[in-house]
Amino acid sequence: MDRSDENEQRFEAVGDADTRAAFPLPRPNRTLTALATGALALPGIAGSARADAPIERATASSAFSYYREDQIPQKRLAAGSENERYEIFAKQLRFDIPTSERTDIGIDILYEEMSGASPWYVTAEGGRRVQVMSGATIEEERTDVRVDLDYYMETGKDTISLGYSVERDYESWSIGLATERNFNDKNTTFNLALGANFDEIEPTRDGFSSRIVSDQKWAITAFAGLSQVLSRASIAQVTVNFKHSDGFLDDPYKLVAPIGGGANVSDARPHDRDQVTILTRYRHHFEDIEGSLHVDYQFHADTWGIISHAADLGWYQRLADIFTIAPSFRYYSQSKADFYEPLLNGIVVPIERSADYRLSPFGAVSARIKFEVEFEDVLSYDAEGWSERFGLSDGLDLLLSVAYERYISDGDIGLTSVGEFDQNPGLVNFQIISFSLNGRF
Amino acid sequence: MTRSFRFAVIAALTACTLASTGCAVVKPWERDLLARRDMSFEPDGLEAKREAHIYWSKEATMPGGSGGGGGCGCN
Repeated sequence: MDRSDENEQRFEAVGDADTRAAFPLPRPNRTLTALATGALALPGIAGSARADAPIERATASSAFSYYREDQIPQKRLAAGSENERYEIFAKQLRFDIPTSERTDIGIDILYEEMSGASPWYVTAEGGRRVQVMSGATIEEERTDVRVDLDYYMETGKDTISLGYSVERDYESWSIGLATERNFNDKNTTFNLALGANFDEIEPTRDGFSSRIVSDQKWAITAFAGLSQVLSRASIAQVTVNFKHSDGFLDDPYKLVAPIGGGANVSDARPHDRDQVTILTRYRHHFEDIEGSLHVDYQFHADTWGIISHAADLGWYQRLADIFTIAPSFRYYSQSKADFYEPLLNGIVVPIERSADYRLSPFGAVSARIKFEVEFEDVLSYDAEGWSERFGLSDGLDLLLSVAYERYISDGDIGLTSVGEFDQNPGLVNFQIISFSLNGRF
Repeated sequence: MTRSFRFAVIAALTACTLASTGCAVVKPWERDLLARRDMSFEPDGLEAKREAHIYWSKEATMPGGSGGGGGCGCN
């Protein structure tokens, strides 16, 4: 008896016909079902929510997204400065393929093309802080490839991940090791992972002789997570990430300007940074209305003095058995880095300084809406021999989705009031539209 | 560490303690609702990765859970 037949029989014995309509990607083993444990935020690790058995059917996922930043309002822009900010076209592909009774492989590929101008430094005009943008339009592309190998056992799985990302001025290598164990009749899942990455930067110099020629940084990451089934319809998870970064952490393309005029100086940050992120997630399904509630809260603190909070609220509503509509809302707030100064105020230039809007104090709200439609058994075919071994069954299921997100950030949206001096004119608003097509074979 | 960091650590430890006491034991044949894709912590892996990467490159936070963080010279 092959695996899918065996599974089908077990499935019928369990008799939860309702799950037939669901389209889990990757699909959990229906009998030992998904203790959906969180993926790992390690460089090089993107674990997925899976039970303790390899996926049975190969899946392919693809996505295309268009990201566009708003222009900076004229009143916050330096006279004569470029105003076209970033736009990014991204294409993603992921394959999940079972390779044996105990192993499967995941391959993630991302290719993105970026163009536009980015914030360069802040200056003062007519008593207002205004943003000077990088002069020329930047054209850049990035390719990112990641491979995850999973090995499953009765009580969990182990994962090894390798990643590589390259763009014209930047290269990054990463490796990750992760383990997942189930306890308590598979109601409790514990995750532990370690990761490391090494990055090399060679900034384009464009005639700026003061820019570094090249430099490096590295980071180690540790992750621990605990997921607990709370009831037949609810599950919660707590994860803790720790990251230590070391080396060249400055932004070679940004400058800081003195308030009284004079020569701009380079962005200079501490050479190390420790970060902690604690994420708590809760999911609850309301069976009578076929809707699921998602609540996430994330706290972050680091040795640069930045503390941030992010709360995410989402609702997945199933309609007519094949449609899902999912609105969600996110609120974010961060404090500033200790060395953040949009304009240098003193006579002495501080050793550490940055006018980067990403290190400024601000808040952000984003609203998203997503539509999904799924089709089961779009195609029927007979998988035999080797093709069956690599996860081909006898039908193709498809999931199509389209999503839109609007993100707005401002100093006044944050949890703490931001003085006029600290408000950064370069804060970004953006929108994203994305399409995805996923197949399970 | 700051007061809010201590608070977050205490909250996380409390959650862990509550979780490890095993609030309920749900049997394998009772897991139909938990198996739904919309009950997953990350129903769409590509989207989660993309979102985490964008937030990471526009905010000063390392994302928890899954996805991005590192690997690009985003500016």
